[in-house]
Amino acid sequence: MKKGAIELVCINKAYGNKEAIKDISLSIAPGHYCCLLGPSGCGKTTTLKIIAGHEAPTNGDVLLDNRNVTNLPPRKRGTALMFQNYALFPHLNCVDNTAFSLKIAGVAKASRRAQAIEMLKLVNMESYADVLPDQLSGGQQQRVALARALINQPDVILLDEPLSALDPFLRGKMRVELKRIQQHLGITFVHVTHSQEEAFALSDQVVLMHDGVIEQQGTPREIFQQPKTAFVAHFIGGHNVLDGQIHQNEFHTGSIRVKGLTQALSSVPRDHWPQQFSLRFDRIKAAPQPDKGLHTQAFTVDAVEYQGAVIQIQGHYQTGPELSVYVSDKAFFAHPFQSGQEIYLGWEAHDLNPLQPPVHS
Amino acid sequence: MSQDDLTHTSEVPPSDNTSPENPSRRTLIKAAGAASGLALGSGAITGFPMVWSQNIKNVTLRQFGTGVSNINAIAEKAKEDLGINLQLTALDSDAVAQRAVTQPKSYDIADIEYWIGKKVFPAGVMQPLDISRLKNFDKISSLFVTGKLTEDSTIAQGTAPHTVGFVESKDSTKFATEPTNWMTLIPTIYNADTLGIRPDLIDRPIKNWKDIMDPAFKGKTSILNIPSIGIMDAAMICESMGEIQYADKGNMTREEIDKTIDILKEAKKSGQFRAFWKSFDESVNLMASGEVVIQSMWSPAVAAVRAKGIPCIYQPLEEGYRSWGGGIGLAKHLSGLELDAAYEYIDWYLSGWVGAYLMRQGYYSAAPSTSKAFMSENEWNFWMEGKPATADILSPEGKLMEKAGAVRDGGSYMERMGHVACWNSVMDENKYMIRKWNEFIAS
Amino acid sequence: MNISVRTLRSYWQITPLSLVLLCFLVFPILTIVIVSFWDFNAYQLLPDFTFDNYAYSLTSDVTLKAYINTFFYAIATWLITLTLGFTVAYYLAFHIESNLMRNLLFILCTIPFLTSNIIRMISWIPLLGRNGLVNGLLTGSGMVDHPVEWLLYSDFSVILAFVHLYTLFMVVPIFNAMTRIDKKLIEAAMDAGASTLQTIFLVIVPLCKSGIVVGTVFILTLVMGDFITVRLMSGGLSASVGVLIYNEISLLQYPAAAADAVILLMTILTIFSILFRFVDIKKEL
Repeated sequence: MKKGAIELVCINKAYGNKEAIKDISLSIAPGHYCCLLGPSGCGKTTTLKIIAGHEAPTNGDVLLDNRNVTNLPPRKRGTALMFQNYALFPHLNCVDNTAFSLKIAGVAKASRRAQAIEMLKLVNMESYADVLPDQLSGGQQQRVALARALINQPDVILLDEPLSALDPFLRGKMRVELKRIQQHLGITFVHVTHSQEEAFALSDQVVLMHDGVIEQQGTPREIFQQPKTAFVAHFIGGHNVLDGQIHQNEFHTGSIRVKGLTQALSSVPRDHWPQQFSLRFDRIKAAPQPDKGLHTQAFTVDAVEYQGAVIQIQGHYQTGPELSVYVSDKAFFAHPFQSGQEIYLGWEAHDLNPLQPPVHS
Repeated sequence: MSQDDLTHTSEVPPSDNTSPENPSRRTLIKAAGAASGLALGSGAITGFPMVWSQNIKNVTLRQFGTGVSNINAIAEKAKEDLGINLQLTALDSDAVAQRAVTQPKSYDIADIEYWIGKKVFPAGVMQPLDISRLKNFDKISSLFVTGKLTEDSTIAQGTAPHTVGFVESKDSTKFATEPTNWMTLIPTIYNADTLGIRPDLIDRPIKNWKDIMDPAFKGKTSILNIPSIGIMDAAMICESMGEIQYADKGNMTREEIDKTIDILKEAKKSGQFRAFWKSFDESVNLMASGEVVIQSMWSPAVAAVRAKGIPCIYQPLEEGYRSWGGGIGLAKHLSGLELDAAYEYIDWYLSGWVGAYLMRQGYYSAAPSTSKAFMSENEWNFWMEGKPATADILSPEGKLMEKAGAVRDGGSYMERMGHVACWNSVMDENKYMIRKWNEFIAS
Repeated sequence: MNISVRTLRSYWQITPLSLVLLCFLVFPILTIVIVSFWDFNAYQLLPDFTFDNYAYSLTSDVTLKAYINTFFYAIATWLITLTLGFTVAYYLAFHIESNLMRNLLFILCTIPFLTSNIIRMISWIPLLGRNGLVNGLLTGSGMVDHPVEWLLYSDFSVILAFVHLYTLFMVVPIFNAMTRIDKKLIEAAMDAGASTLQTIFLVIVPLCKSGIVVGTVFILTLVMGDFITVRLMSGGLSASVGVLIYNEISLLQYPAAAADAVILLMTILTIFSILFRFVDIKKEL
């Protein structure tokens, strides 16, 4: 039985009159890699600190493995926090940094040194055991910080934007490393990030937050396939958001009519039918000439962006909406478009993902 | 013609009187001297403004000395009466001694104590005064001439002023054993010091120097931490205790110093002393706050305590007083008009106004008889005769010092200056004494 | 060629400061060292080359006692100002949120400096004296029968005055070092289970080491060089090295004073060279 199940029950956190977190409930399964994703100021770091015990919630409870730990100090929770910029003690070498909590716990010097070396081995830093933090690179500091967080064999590791200080190349490497260690240890990781790419790459469970509430949670795939709200669709990228109305099985957006929504909306009562849909960039077909399966209205290309595997086309219909489209490089270079050119687009009704109105008013 | 020449021309002294090139200067002075001599002879002593030489107007004399007699009021009065500018510099007595010897060009007139003079004069940096040029010489108290107030007085120990008061000739630096025509320092100010007590906090009569060592006053006594004076007070105490008989308290042997310091150390160890003071203000504070009830003290400090409305007595003691005196002397480099002005100034100093001013502060004038004319009968009787004041006694600044009916502590001039046991002095073993004194302070 | 021009320019740029240091630091110290070998009598300095001044100072009981006294004052003051200064700095750095409040409290710390030295010393008498406020309270409340004498003119009062005067010199550098500590480090220590005390001793103290050393340098220099506080607060009953030197100066024994000053300077420099072995002070300035 894995340990490290986290449950937040109606957590509320207010600073003065300002609510940073508004009645969040969340459960994270043991051994999962969970990313708290969202723009800055969305409450993700506060949530992390509440789990860590560095902040007390104004209301609500924190449960770890079904223990109510709301009033316990950090060390008593079985969690370990890895800080943004790592917060390594500048006066202690890697071993002493790693072994700090053991020292606090009164573990004998030889024993704690051995354990610390063990942890440094896990993060491939054993050769830097006696080096002071300011002589290490960002990535190396990160590893030591991770070793320090791991040394007490916590059930939950909490990581506050652990990769934000690294350059993109190192970030990719460390991402793999984090995932490797998490799977090796089989414990719960809760990782705060504002990078959707990082969250998708690492998570078993993504929790997307906005303005102190959870907009959506699920596996990366669930979120990408079915963003719940326009905010989510925008934030994770690769999605157009279409506004419009449904008229008898037809979705009208600008001058475009999309037929055959019955399947997507079968479970939704008629008066709750959405007024917004998301549509992935890569689910739109594009051709220089009108064709079967394409809308008859001409689409004006405003910008063409080469992105490697795909080319992103931005443009608009005369009477709305504006859309972005991914065209595979093969297809694009067969029939290249230029900005100002008129082309024709088409998509399937089942690629339209109905969006809920915003969670908060 | 250059700018320099123009400037130079404009700096020609404005008055012929002060021009050093004036050939008739000497004769003028002689005439002026005669005139003032005439004025004196015709009863100027009664306090009417005297006629002083006019040609010394605007001469500037630099006088330095201890703060006691370096009083601005004196400089102002000198300007008014003589027209000379007196530049006063006040230093502590040790600095005065050093400056007198090492920077003889930095002053014209030295205001020093006799025990300092004993060291300074032989250094050859000063010139003796020709007493025949001083009209008021014979008014000077005999204490400074023969060393005896009256015929049958005994001469006190220490550096008695008359022993260093004269040299054998104009160019000699050797002190004469009896009065000559050449005086080293003209006395200005002197007094007799004793212990100050708080009568309200002491319930028995204080009669002797040894009373400061009474266990009853444990932790409530103080002596001053200026080695050259402190050792004298200590000697007065030790002799009074019957512990040591000194051949000369003013010039102790090493053994005497050792014994004295040992007694002090012992007393310090047993907690007899509350504190040692070094400055006037400290002694006033110690006494006024009641931290100390009996201590060595200076006369103006006693007055300062009383001025706060706190009873304080300058207690006369059976063994007598420790006395000190100061005088003014001339720097060797002084000559010409400045020298004439200095003589004039010194004569004026003895002529009464300054003496009266100093007497009102509780000191004594070198020529008491001339001062009498500048004091009221009540003042004279109170300060000199030791009689009860018939009206309030005011300080020179006009502050109330004593109420009507009060009597001066220690009584009359004769009573006080006639009972001097020892004069402030500098010992042959000075360096040794200072080291031992430091040991005592550090112990 | 280019380099020599640049070198020349650097020399030119350091000239003013070098001159100031030369005139006001090196030259006076050299003078003191030279004079320390001179002889003297009651009123004169006699140029000479004699070790007598050193021989006397280094063998005399007075010097030894004065040094013991001085070290006692220095160490006691250091311990108390360190404890107080650290506590005050800790409070200011970690417990006061508003900058305005912090500045106000800082100004409060400087109050002892708003009055003159002498006035400050004299004002202790009505507070600590035999008939002072404290004794009034103690006897009034019946806690003691007789006024407590050791409150004034004692080692206690000397150290009290030092602490009162110099705590600020401990507060400022320690506070300065504390503000440079990342607050995350304290959270990290908490996260590792450290209590407040453990956090202070295992994290904050090591990271304030430089501030503590700077404060220590201030305190030791000020206390070991002091003469006026010791003289006034001990009522002249005890002597520190500074008092000895002051006495010698006032008795015009300049060569002896110079020799004592050189010895004191050497002592302090030795202490500091040991101190700086523990902390790289340049890193912090």
